[in-house]
Amino acid sequence: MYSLVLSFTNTVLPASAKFIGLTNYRILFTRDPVYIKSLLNTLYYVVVKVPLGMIIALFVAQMLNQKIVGVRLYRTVFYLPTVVSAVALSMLWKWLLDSNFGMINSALALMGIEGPGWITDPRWSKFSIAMMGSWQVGRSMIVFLAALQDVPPMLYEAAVLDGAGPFRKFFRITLPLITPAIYFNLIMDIIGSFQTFTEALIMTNGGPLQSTYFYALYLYEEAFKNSRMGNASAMAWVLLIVILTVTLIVQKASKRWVFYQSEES
Amino acid sequence: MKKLSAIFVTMVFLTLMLFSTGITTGLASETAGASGEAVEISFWTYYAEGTDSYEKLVSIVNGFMEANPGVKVNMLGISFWDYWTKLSTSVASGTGPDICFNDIMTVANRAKAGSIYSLDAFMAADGVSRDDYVPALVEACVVDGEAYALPVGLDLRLLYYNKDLFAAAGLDPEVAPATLDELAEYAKALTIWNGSNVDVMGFSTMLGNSYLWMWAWNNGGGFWDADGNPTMNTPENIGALEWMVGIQDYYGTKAIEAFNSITGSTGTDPFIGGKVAMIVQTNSYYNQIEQYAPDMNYGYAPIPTNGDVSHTWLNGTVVEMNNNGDATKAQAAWKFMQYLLSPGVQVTLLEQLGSYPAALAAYDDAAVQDNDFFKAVANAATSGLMINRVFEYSNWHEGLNTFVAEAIAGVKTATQALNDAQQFVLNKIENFNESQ
Repeated sequence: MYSLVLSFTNTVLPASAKFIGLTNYRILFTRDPVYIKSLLNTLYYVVVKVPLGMIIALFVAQMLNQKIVGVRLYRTVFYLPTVVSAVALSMLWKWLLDSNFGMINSALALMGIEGPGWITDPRWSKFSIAMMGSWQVGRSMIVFLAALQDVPPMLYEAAVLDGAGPFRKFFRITLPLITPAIYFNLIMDIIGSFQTFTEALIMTNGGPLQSTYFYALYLYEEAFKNSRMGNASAMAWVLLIVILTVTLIVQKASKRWVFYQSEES
Repeated sequence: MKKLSAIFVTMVFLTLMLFSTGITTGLASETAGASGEAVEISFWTYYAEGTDSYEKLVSIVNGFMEANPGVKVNMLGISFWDYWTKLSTSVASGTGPDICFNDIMTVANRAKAGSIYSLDAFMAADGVSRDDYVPALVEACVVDGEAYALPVGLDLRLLYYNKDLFAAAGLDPEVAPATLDELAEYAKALTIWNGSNVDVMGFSTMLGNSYLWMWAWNNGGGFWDADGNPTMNTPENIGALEWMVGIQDYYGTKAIEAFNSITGSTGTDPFIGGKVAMIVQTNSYYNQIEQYAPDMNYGYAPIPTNGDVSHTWLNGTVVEMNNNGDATKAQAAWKFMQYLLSPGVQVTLLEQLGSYPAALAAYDDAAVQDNDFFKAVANAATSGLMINRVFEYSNWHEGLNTFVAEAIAGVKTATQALNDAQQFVLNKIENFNESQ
């Protein structure tokens, strides 16, 4: 709550606080091009990373929902990135994405494709960080896996008897019945993605050319490098409102597409 | 009714909790020293606990406490990367240390906010003069005519060069480039190509501690006028940026990226690894070379300049006393500060922690006079320039880096980049003033 109070002041340190109303907010939206850039960068990241991450998580969960030898090992391996330090992962991905000697471009070179500067080219850097974020699907994967295991097998048996193939089974049975899990992961991913910070700080420091200068990074620099606590607090509250608004929109829309098995029963 | 009572009781309880913290803290600080016991002061430093440097600082602090039994120094060592955020947060919440190391560039912010003590009265009482320290660093500690901190250490930049690579390229290994044009020529002469890749890079303006403002100063430029107005796009500044772009263009983006990939993957510093012939680095780099490449045949020289005097980028760390409202602790903290700033301890900090003295008398010490490198640092410090301290936009120099990157990447010309930088800084100042 103190940060809300600070957002209406010109605080550099609390001792110099002076109430200035909505000035911080007005300046952010009308006179701060770096703020707008950081907001747009973050929106791009959310729009790319969230659906990509959920598709990958669902795909992996579907693969891991098989009775095969070693499935427990595979589940552990796919979950591991979630528990590894974000700094360590960022360093690893910085090496993987190296434009000259990274594994990804080396693999592409074997196919005769010249890979881009994944984190050195401002046209690719945002996508690269979003791609890296999508790879960390452990948490979402576990939730999807639990939801997949909750789907009554008799529905699949009945569908097979009716001649349904794997795609029809997935889109007509699986997907509708796991919509609560999709809803949960969607909300959690949106909230987390808006606050992305570590990857940009470690891998690119907001570059190249501010292409990965995300909202949280700008907020951090305003607060702790420029000591402009009032401005940083305003940014924090705007972020809260944005996340809250998006979450409310998703929640309202969820009534149309989320199906709870308990409602039917 | 029951609900209202519950809310009322909760509010009273919370209020009491908030006040009790202040009351007990106040009582503790008021009674400290009153009964004749040692005055306890808290001291924060960025030498993290558990490190070798921290242990050496413990010995230095113990030396003070042995000589001053009436003062007990409680030292807290925090990792350098966390130190600045933890310190600013604690000061903001009123729980900051009595004495601490801090950033010299933002002394004015803290002074104007009233969070640190003015030192003039303390200095006058003990005959401590501002002239005892490196002038440019002390000037940064003076706000509205009063000194609010004193410099405890300095850092500056020098040009390090590999003498063996110089000899191999047919250059005199005892003569480093003296002008910007010479530096560019030497860079080309010292570069060894391997097809389209760079095997040995002569010099890069994007490696080490090389920044536009230092090259601009040495090209007769500057970024702020005497009235505090930004002058980002002067011809001299543009000339310096064009010079930087020229050196990078000689290698090309692909070759530079490939070189960074190779040298980055080895985990070895490229100059120490013999892959870069010349590099601008800080004075503490000397300690790294001595530690990791003691047999390296290298030299060091002032930053090349197109003017008469070489201007290195000078920066430093200050020691300051946070205004926690306790006069007794302030007096004890001042005593400790004098100890840290005394020439003998400054030399000890140099020898044991690699912290270069800001006290001028320390450079007269025999240990310093016997070392050519320390003498080179002392000489460079006398003509070093600091980043302009701009209250409205204290981080302006880091904001400039984006525009430099645009020019280096070829997205904008040097003129366009610095014109945009000028508008950007003016906008930042306008935004700040509007919020005042």
